[in-house]
Order: sequence, then structure tokens, then C-alpha cells
Amino acid sequence: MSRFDPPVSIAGRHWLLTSLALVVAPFIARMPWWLSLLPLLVMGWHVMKERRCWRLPPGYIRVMVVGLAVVGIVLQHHTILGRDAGTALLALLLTMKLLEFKGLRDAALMIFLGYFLVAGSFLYDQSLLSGGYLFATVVALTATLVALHHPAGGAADSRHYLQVGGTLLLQALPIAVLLFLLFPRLPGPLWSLPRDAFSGRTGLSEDMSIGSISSLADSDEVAFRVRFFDPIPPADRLYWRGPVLWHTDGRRWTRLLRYEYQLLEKPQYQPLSPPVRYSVILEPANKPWLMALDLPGTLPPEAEVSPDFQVTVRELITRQRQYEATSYTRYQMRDADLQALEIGLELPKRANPRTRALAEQWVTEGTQGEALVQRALDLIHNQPFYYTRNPPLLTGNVVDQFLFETRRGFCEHYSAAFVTLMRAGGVPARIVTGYQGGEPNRVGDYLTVRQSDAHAWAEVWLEGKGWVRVDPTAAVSPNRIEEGSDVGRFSGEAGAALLSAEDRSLLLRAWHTATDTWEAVDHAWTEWVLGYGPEKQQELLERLGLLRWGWRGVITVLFSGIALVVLIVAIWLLWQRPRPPDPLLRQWLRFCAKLARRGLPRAPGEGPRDYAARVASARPDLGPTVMEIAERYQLLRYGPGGADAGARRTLAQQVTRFSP
Amino acid sequence: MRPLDRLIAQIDELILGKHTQVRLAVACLLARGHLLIEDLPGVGKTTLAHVLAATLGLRFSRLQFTSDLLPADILGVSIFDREKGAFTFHAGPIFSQVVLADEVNRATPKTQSALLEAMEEHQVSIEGETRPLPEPFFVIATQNPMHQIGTFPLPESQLDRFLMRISLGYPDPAAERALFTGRDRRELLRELGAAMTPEGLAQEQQVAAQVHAADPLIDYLQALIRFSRESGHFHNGLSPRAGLALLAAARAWAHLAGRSHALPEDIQAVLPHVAGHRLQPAQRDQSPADLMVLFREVPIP
Repeated sequence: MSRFDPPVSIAGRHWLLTSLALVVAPFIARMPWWLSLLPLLVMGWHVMKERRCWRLPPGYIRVMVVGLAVVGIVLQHHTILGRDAGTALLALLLTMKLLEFKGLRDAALMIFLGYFLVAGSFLYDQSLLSGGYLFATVVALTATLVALHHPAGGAADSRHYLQVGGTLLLQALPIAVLLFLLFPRLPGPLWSLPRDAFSGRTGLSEDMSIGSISSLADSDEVAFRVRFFDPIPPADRLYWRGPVLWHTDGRRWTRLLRYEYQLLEKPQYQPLSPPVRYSVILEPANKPWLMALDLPGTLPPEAEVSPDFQVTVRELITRQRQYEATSYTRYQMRDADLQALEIGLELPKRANPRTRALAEQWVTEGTQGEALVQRALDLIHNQPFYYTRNPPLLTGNVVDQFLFETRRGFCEHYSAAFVTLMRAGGVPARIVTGYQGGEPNRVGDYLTVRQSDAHAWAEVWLEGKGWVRVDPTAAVSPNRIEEGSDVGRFSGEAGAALLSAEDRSLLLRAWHTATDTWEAVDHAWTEWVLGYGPEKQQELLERLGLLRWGWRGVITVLFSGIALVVLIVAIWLLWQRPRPPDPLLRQWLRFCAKLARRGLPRAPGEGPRDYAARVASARPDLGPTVMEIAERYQLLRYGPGGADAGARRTLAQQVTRFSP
Repeated sequence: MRPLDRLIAQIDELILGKHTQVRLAVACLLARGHLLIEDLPGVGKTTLAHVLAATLGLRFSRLQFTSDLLPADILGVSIFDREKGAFTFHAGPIFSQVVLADEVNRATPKTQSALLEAMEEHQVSIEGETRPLPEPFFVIATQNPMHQIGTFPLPESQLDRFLMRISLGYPDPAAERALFTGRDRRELLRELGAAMTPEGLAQEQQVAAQVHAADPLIDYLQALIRFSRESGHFHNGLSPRAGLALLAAARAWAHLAGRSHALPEDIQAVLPHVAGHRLQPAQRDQSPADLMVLFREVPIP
């Protein structure tokens, strides 16, 4: 005898394809176009097959298609393991399953694999938007499960399936919340993610090459978010300090070598303003840096400050990280290490001769120290220098080319040219990379700093003043700024003015409120849902007073909470039991329920006479009563006369009196 | 004892141990439908048809279908009468009240369709002249199981013309023993008197058609039809005509039981015989009989 796999109803098949498409869509979107053809073709074939009643392809074709999928994955990822290749392969195989889809068994398998892939989607994107999409997918998957197991021929439609699926998930929600809040959180991931899980993150890099990028990547991705406990400092002091670049070959700028860091001493400084306290949620950038406002004061215990005031930690940051810090936005450095000053004067002998000649000419004219700095800034301001995000490519002596020929560039060009000029003129200088400014969120009262806010500026060492920040990009004359909207922030005071200018337009204001609200919601999601780690859990449990009994108490509370939720849902379900509209049917079902409790349930397709006969043969003592009730019911419900009220009442009384 | 009960009792005396099939056959007759009996040779198909005709006092004719049978052999022909100098019509065996079409699947499709057309229209058109068939008109066709050499299986669209399809099957040992030890059936048949007049039958048919079908019953009928269309078990679902047939058969079944209203049980009793030959399983490895059991899953609203 062959295995009987019940076929899937037509509505069930429609639902299956819909939820399947929802599940694999994000994976298909990440595939290269030639690979995404495969699942799209299979799904298209399936639609045609359903319409035209085609047959399933023979085994060797199925094997070939699966082989194609594996080859495609290997061509693209050079492996079938790891996050990218593994999930893509799974998504492909899930769609391939349509090629041998016959009955309920296959459908159930596909649905459960679908749930798994939904969890896999979170490896890529944990944002609120993607969370919402995946939640909708889970609702669709659950509705499909409902449709698959619903008897065809019932009066149910798609809305009903959605309703049941949604209700099921809503009933599970309190338990999920309880588990989320109370289940012990472990620091670090439970399992190690494949290595490729963190690739493709953008952020600052460890070096900088001038002129090699002809267009600044304008990524809207959030780099980090900051909530200030003190008033937000003015925009011209919002310099977020990242890697400091010292060494150059005339074109490429790099950080100090590890041993050089150990040789240098951290200079003393004196704060000139009260400390600013703030809390940062840093997006993972796969780099060992924390971002802090210039100049970092107190820091989280695991962080270290290098002699050039960069904040580092020991491990790469691959997950979102929250920390608190204080900074002094105005300060004065006392002295500097002589070795540092030496490195701050290094220039390659042959590179950029014209720039060096210019600086030497200025020095022979008697311009030195602070005056030299001013003269360089004047040069940028008065000569036709342009700020653009799409500068021409530079080759050879890039700084010479920029200063004397193209005169178009962005922060990297200006800072590199400025630092070269300073060093040639005998003023120690270095490039600081990081972020500048940030977008205040008026709804959530915090600052969002994006990758597009990445910036590079310079620091020069002046006798008596120590290291001083100079932002040569800000010296570009405002009327020579292309694509002005963003650059306003670079020119110091413009940051505040930007907001007031926008406020004039009602439409713009509404738009900004909307984006700010979304930002705030997203921030809350990040801070409270994604950022709910061991520390926050500890904090919450302490506040709730649950830790008094230790973890055992927490677990007890967790499980009794779940039991309570289940109890409430069960009571609610009993309360909400659908009441059939027909009063006769209601009496009949009441009667059947009484018998069901005695172990004689009625099959859904069993008519009143058959049922009564079966009960009578199983329980002869009940026979006459049961027969009488069934007779009366069938006569009232199916009989021609139309039921009169008296007969109905008699039936109701009989059912009430009936106690098997 | 009602005449109908007497009728069935009388048939039961001759057709031993086939009470349900006899009732189904009578119900089919009451619902003014035609009956298809599918079974092996020698299980009593022909006897059943004979007995039905005899107990109802109806004119009976038998047609043995063969591969060289022509439509004219069924319907009749006009032959030139030299004495009168005109054509006279010699009616074929179809002009009877009960027609036994034996081994209907041995005839060619052309001959089959002549019979089936007459069944549907209750009239015959020959040489431009339409001749009505007698009332009541009841065809009992028998068919050997498929896949025998030299048969032309009835196409699905024509199977639909039969209200019910039943099979008799082997008798149980006790009934078979009674058959061996009892008198000769043919002799008994000859002695058999009519238990009902044709007028009586017409009246019963009319009463059966008026059996009450309440709204909840129609709901159940529709649920069954929807199941056949949407469950994915069948190639095509039941047609509206099949639905009507199901209802008429259920009414006749209820009337046989002496009730003036039909119950879900009535539909369930006739369903396998009314729907069985109208549905094909969607998966080839399932037998139609298995699928009839599936209808039991449809809840009664």
C-alpha cells in the first residue's frame, strides 16, 4: 500500500506560494541577477503548473535543477557554507521543493523550513522595518498552516485563515515578551556566527589615500547615536574623534605603528569647559574603535586612550555597543612628546615639491607658527578652491595637483594639503579622521551621526598652545560649495542656522517631524529591543526586585508568568467559544458535548440518527433517551413543519436534563 | 405495509442478501433516474433488472450489447410495407418501460450514444420524426469492469447520465447457500406478480420529489459539493447537475424510509453511488472508493 499523502486544498496552495514568496524575497534580492533567475523561474513554472494542471518534472530534471542551484551558489560564494552561501542555498532549495510538491507532507515541510529562513533573515538585518516585514511573513506562514489543515468545503476564506493565524501569534506574544525579558541573557552570542557575517560594514578606515576616490560614498547608514545628559554642544564643537593619521608617502596617510604608540606619552591637557556627559549607541563597524567627542575625558573601563587621543577597545566591534563617556569640548594641551613632534614633521623627500616650495617661501617671508596656519587658511578661502563631493581623480604628486591645479575636493583633500603645507613650513601637524556634527532628532532628543558625516580635519602643534584643531575644509568660501545642503555643517556656525532655515517651510517641517519620529522609533527599537543585553536585563530585574531570590526566582517568575498567560488565554478561549446562530443546533451541540465528555464524541460528519444509533449500541442504558433527543432534533431541524416554540423548549429541557 | 415496502420485500425474496443494493435500485427508480450496475458476470445483474420490471408490472425488454450492434437495432427501423404501400415503423426494444442494456460497454460509442441520448431526452428521433418513449422509462445498464478485451468504456460525460452506479458483489455465504438450496430463480420469476401498478409508481415518484429538504440540509449538500471542488482530492468537482442528482436521490431514499423530510444521513447513504462515477481521483494511486470515505470528514453544519 502506498503512503497516503492528502492533497492540499486550492486555497492552501495559494497561501503556500504567497508565504513562500514572502520568505525567499529578501534572499532573492541579495542574489546576483543571474542566480535569482533560478528561483523566479521555478516559481513562475509552479504558477503555470497550477493553472494548466501540468505534471511534476521527472527525477533527473529535479536533480539537474538542484545541481544548477548548488553550482550557482559555489560560483557566487566559492563555498556552500557560511552565512551568505548557506542561507542562499537554503532559500534556493526551498523554492526547488515546488518541483516535487505533491501533498500536505511537502507543504508542511516547506512551511517549517520557511520559519527557519525567517530566523535566518535576522542574520542580515535587525532593523525595525525588516522586523515588521518578517513579522508579516510569519503571520502569512501561520495562516498557511491554518489553511493547510482546514477541511475544504467549510465556509472559510482567506480572511478567516489570516485571522486565525494572527490570533495564534497574538496569543503567543505575551509569552514571547516574558521570555524576552526574563530568560537569562548571556554575554556574547550563544553560538558563533560564520566569519562572513560582519563583512560589508562601512565606516572609517585605518588609512586614507588622497585622490583615489572620485566620489564620496554618500551612505545614509547610521554610524552611531548619542544622547546627551548635558546640553548639546554647538555644532562647531561636535568633532567625533576617530583614527589619527601621521605617516604619509605623499599620497597615502596611515596611523602610527604599534611600537610607536608605546614609545609616545600621552600629553597633559587642561579642560576649559565643563565636562559633557553623553551615552553612545555605536553601530558595528568591525573595527576596534569607540567614537568619543573631542577631547575624551572619562570612558568606559574597557576602553583605552592612545597618546593621540583615539579611544580603542581590545576586540573588534561586531555588535551594537552602548557606552557612556564624558568629553571636554574646549581644552588646552600642555606639552607634547618630542618624538611626536618629530613624526609630525615628517614628509617624503621627493613628493609634492611645489607645495613644499610654497611653504618654504612663506617661511623665508617670515611667516611662522600661527601666522603660517592663518596664511594657509587664507589661501584656501581666497583662492578659487571648491568643495565638491565629486572631485577629479589625482595622480602623481596629488597634493601639488590639488593645491595648484584642480582645487576641487572634499575634507580629505583639504586636510591632507593643509597638513603637508604645515609640515613643510615647520609646524608639526597630523590628520584626524572621525565624524563631524550629527543630526538632532527633535522627537527623541538625541543626535544621529551617519556615515555621510564622516570627516577629516587637522591638528597642528603650536608653541605654548599644544595640539590645536584646525578644520581647513571649513575655510572654503561658502559661495564655492557645491551641493551645499550637507556642507553647511562643515562651516562651523552654519549648523545651527540650518535648522532655522528649514523651519520656515511648513511642508519641510512636517517632513522632518516625520523622519525624526521614525528615527526616534528606530532608536528606541535599537536601544530597548536590540540593545537589551545582560546589563540591561540585570538593571531591569533589580528594579523589579526579582534578583532578591537569585536566578532561581527569576526562572520561577518566568514559568509562572507563562502559566498565567496560558491560563488567561484558555479562559478567554472558553469564553469566546463561537456560538452557532441556530438555537436548535446549539442545543444539539450541547447534547453532543455532554456525550463527548463521557467518551462518545460525535464525528463532525456524523448525522443525528447515526450518532444516536452508535451511542445506543455503546451505552444501551442511554439508548432510549438518546434516540428520543436525536429524533426530536432531526425532526425539528430538518422536518417540514418548521419548529414551533413548544417543541424547541421540550428539546432544550430534555438536553438540560440529560446527564450521561 | 406500504406498497413500497411490499415491493422491496418481494424483490428481496428473489435477490438474496442484497438488501441495500435493492433499496438503492428502487430509490433510483423513484428519483426517475437511470441505473448503472457495474460488476462481474453472474452475480445477478440481469435477475435484478428482471425482478424490478416484473414486480412493478412494467413492460420489459432486454438488449444484449455487442460490438456489431447498430443504433437501429435499439431504436427501431421503418420498413416499406408493400401491402399498404407505405413505410411502417417497427419500434426497437427501447420502446419499453424497463430496458435492460446488458454489457453496455461492449458496443461501439455510436450505439452507446444512441441509447444515452434516448435516456436523457425520453424520446427518440428517427427519420425526422420524434417519438416519445413510454412512461415510466427506466434504463438499467450493466457494465463489466473496465480493462476487459473488446470493450469501449463509457466516457465520463456519459456516465453522468446515470443517476447511480452500484455494484452487487458476491453474496454472503448464507445467502448463497439459500440460493443453492432454494428453488430455481427463473421459475420464481415467472410466478412473480406485480406488487405495484405503473400508476402507483408514478404517484410514489411524485411524492418522493416533494420530500422536504430543509435549509440546513441544503447547506450540507453545498458543503459536500464545495469539498469535492476545493479539497484537491479530485480532478474536477461535482457539477450542479450532480448536485441535483444527489438531492433527488437523497429525497427518494428518505421517502423509502417513510420520512417526509430528508436527513444528512440520506445524503450520506446515496453519496458514494451518486458521486462515485462522476469523480476522478487527482492522484492516480487512489481508488474512487477510498475517496468516498473522505466525504465523511465534511462537517454537518
